[in-house]
Amino acid sequence: MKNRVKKGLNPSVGASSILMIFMVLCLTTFGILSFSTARADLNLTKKNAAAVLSYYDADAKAQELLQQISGAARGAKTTAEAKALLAELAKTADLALSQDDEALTVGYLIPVGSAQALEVEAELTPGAPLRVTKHKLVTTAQWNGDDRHLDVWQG
Amino acid sequence: MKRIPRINPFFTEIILVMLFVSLASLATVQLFAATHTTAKQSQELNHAMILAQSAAESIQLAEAPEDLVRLLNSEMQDRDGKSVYSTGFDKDWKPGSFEPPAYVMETVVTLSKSDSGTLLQAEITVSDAETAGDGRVIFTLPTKKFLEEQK
Repeated sequence: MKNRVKKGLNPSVGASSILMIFMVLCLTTFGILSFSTARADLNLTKKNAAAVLSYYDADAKAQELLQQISGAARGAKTTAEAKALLAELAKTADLALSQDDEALTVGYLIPVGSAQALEVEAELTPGAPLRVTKHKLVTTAQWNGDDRHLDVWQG
Repeated sequence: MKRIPRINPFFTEIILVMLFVSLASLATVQLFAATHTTAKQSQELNHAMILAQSAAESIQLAEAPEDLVRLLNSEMQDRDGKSVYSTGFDKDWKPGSFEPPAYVMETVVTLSKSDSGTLLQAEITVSDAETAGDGRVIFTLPTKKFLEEQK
């Protein structure tokens, strides 16, 4: 009987293994969670950087167009003359020209990404410097939520 | 009678557990190190982006190329015919004249003149100056500004 008791396992045996398994599981879980959070954060930052780059790329194109507009309309004495001079440029650069009594308004859209555009409007008055009257981001694509149903339990 | 020495099973287990924990720690330490690198990269990109955008918006305010010294708040240096404005930052992204700086923002400006005015082209580069060599580029932002000639 005494021999049987001596040969039985020590109750403390196995506790350290259980503790180790728990510790390794905790470390792995927290490690994976923190890594996935950091990765998601970096991906979001990269998307933000891409959006910033596309905005400034569009802005650079808008500035180049302003230079072309200013160059094309240079020397025009009247608004009608400026409109005639810009008509050639309007064919290639997709410009919208509208004329009122004194000034000629030139408008254009430069795409920023797939759903936005930079809307620019400049006022051209003969003898006066080019005046930018609008420079803003506009949405070009309509969001359609109809095809994005959430799979909600209906009861 | 000769006694055979017996190894305590508890100590055997402890040795095995320590061996396994050290192996598992190697993997998890690598995971945490990768997390730290990723988080640092993200933080650096965020800061660099904000600084570059701020410089780009300052350039948009310029009415003449001479305004850039005031707007970018740094001295102009001439490099291969291009104007270079550089600002140093410490490791907490505070601007100042540090020797050596942890991060550097350089704005390289080129001017292309035409009859109607000047097109100011700037390339803003934020780089990690601590990295050996020319520094690791964190973010580059090109921007342009048309300065119309006075009629």
